[in-house]
Amino acid sequence: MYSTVQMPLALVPEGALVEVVAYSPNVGRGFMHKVTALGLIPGAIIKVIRNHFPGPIMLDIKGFRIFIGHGIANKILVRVIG
Amino acid sequence: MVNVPEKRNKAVAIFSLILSILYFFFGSLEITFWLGFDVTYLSPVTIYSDAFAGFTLIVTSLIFAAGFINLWRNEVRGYSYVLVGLFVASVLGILQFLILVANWTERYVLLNEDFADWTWIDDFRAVIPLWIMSLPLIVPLRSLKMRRV
Amino acid sequence: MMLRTVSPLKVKVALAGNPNVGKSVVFNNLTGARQHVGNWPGVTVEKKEGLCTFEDAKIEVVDLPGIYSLTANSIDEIIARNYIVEEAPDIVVDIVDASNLERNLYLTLQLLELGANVIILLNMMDLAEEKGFKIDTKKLEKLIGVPVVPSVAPKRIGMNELCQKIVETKKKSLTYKKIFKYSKDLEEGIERVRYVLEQYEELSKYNLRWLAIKLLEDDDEVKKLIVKSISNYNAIFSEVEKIKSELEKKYDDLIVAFADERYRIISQIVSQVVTKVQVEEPTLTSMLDEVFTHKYLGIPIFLTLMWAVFQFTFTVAAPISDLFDMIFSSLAEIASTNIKPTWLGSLIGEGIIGGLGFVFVFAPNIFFMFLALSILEDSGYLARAAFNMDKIMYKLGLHGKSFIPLLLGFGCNVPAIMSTRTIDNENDRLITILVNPLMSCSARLPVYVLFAGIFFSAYAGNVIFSMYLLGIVLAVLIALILRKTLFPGRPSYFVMEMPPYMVPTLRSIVVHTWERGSMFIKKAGTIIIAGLVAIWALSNIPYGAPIEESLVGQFGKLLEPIFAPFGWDWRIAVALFFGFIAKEIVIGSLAILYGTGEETLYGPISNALTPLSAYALMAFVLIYVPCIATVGIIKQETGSWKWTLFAIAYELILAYLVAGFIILIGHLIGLA
Repeated sequence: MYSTVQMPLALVPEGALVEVVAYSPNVGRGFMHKVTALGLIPGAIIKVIRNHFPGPIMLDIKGFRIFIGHGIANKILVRVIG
Repeated sequence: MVNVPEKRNKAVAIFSLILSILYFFFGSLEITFWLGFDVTYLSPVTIYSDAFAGFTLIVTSLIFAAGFINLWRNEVRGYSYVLVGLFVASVLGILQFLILVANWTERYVLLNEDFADWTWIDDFRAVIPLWIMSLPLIVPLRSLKMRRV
Repeated sequence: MMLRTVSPLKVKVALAGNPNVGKSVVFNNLTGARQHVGNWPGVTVEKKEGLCTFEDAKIEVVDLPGIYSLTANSIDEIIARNYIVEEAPDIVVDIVDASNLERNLYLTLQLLELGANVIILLNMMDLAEEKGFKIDTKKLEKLIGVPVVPSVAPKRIGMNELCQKIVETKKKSLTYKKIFKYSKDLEEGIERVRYVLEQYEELSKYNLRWLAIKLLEDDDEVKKLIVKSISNYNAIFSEVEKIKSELEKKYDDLIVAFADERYRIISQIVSQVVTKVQVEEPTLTSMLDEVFTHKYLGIPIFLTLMWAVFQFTFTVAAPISDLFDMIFSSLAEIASTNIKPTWLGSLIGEGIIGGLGFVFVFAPNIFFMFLALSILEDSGYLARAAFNMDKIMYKLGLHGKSFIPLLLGFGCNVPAIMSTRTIDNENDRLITILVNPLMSCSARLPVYVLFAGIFFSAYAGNVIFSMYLLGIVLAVLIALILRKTLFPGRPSYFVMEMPPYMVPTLRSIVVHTWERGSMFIKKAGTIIIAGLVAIWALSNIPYGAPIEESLVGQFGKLLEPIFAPFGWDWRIAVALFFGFIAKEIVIGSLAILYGTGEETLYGPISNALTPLSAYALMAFVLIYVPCIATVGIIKQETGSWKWTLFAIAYELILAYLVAGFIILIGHLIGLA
């Protein structure tokens, strides 16, 4: 399932593989610093493991698991690649 | 893990279902007793009217039930539920065993008067035999190919 | 033969790395028992320092907080940066998780940018192997330009080699400061900013390249530094702005641009150094997560495990508590009957030994609780629990990480508040601390049991449960109010690591449990003993007089009018006052004041109160003033008297209001 449509990470269904495309326009520096340090930069490939929307979402980045609040997840735009 | 035979999945599924029913049964007994109906005669082991304990039994039952449903359909993740079911059963079973030992200590070592009427049967609750009964699940689980990490 | 005294080689080493890479294990391996735990100056973050001797060298080790990068956004990062810049350690050991090389190297690159002298300790090699990675450490060394020491810290593999490397580096004064170049445009920008900064002598002691990069990234702390050091900082800032806007024509955002470059470099390195050998197989972690974070089963399973923890903490620890009780009771009796003069016997017996006994009786509970929690934490489960509860917490205006401290509060508020250290955002943390005492701690239970038993017999269980519920409801309300009034804004962005599940080592469990347990006992213990001795003193002066005429009695009479509208007499007022020292004491004091043993309080109390006033009293005990140990810990964790006093004040007021409200409603419904 390849798509060019961008969607917020928060809405991605469980089990999907996505690529980070951009951040929402109104994000602050604190957000950017945090997110880049974790590897959630444009081009990064992530797997969505659990999505308790409107709750937290669990991700697998290169074999490493974290979970983020939907606040952050809403501001990361991704496209689904699998 | 496609090489795990269907027959085995179904067997484990049935075993899981049986455990699920048993846990559910005893959990309901605890809760109905808590609600005020004396159903203790239905049980070979001691039942307190402990709603929380009943809750934990029901939860365990649900885990095993999920295991049954998934394994019956040959879905590999059923084993995850069986694994966690065994884990929770062990936690509850071992805990109760420790409680039994603790109270035994009160009665026979400390000679605590509050425990003068206590016998080990008082603390031999459903979770203990149920835990023993769930131990055979270790066999199919061990043979699963899985990485620790 | 000539005797030469050789002064030992002294090396100053800092340990850095991401959270959960095994830093504390390495620290413990190196320093053993010679550690000292304190605080970083001015903040409530823990600072661990220790000494390690290797061959003829004395290595001072400082454990920096676990961080993902060196931005200026969190206290932990700022502490780490400042330490490296100001204290200039000889070596910074960057502990890297070999099974997550790419993400860990991000910090490494930033450390190199900062100009630190880095040695990489490539830890968790066993985990990497299990994940199917083969890492060419020699090649990594070559590409990244700093020594790489592979290790498996829990098995002490690599520790000697690390120390050897450290000593060798210091002896030969080697420096490992590879500079990685970014893209042409960025490098140009960096050069231009550097040129501007070079003009200023005040900045010559800093690593200019790092300052330049940070200014381009809009780093707050560096900006503050410039303002502080240079009088006409505006000149610098305007130049930097010019350079930035030119760069921004090519790159949307410089922060992302730099991050991108770093990851590009890292990817290149990692692709040449790591080969993946095994095929993807389901992992234990993913199997467990499937169930533990299940949408519907996740929380019930969590509740089940929590129930087990509480049962374990109370029922299984009981024999040990009872044992201490017996020992200390008999000791107390022996003392009071055999030591002359009688007042001294009473002081030592009932006062001091009684006080000590009291602490020892609840110590097993505390240790068991910490034991269970250490297991949950070290195994990795707690992160999943936080994940499950996050949604609910957010709705309450709280941080997901607030959940565990609030849960612990049901056992004892002191360790609960101590555990708020994991919450980074100050506001979230403060709210969690302030609301914590409303979680009905185990000390209040005896009070509920006594009063509920006397006045509500058949319904006692439900009445007690209603108290816990009341506590939770009030906590939620107060949290919401605090959030709206004093701490506006939503809970901070929430990110939490989920380490792979592992069976915790016996050693780490024991160490954690002992650390926390003994710290608690020391603090709470001393306070409670002091308090009990004080009570003993006040109720026995003048010695031999009936209780009403002792200091305590007179004090009670003073307090009586405050509580008269609730129908509580002076004895209750005094007991409540002493409850400030420790809630457990309320019952004991009532016993002393009524002149009976605790078993026969039934009579006097059923005469002194009505069911309504008893219920109001229970609510009052739930809410008013945290015990003195808790007050102490609030002061320690918040670092300010302002919030501590605020906590005491709002709880007193709230308690009074709620009790009054209960009495009022009661009268209106005609329950008086």
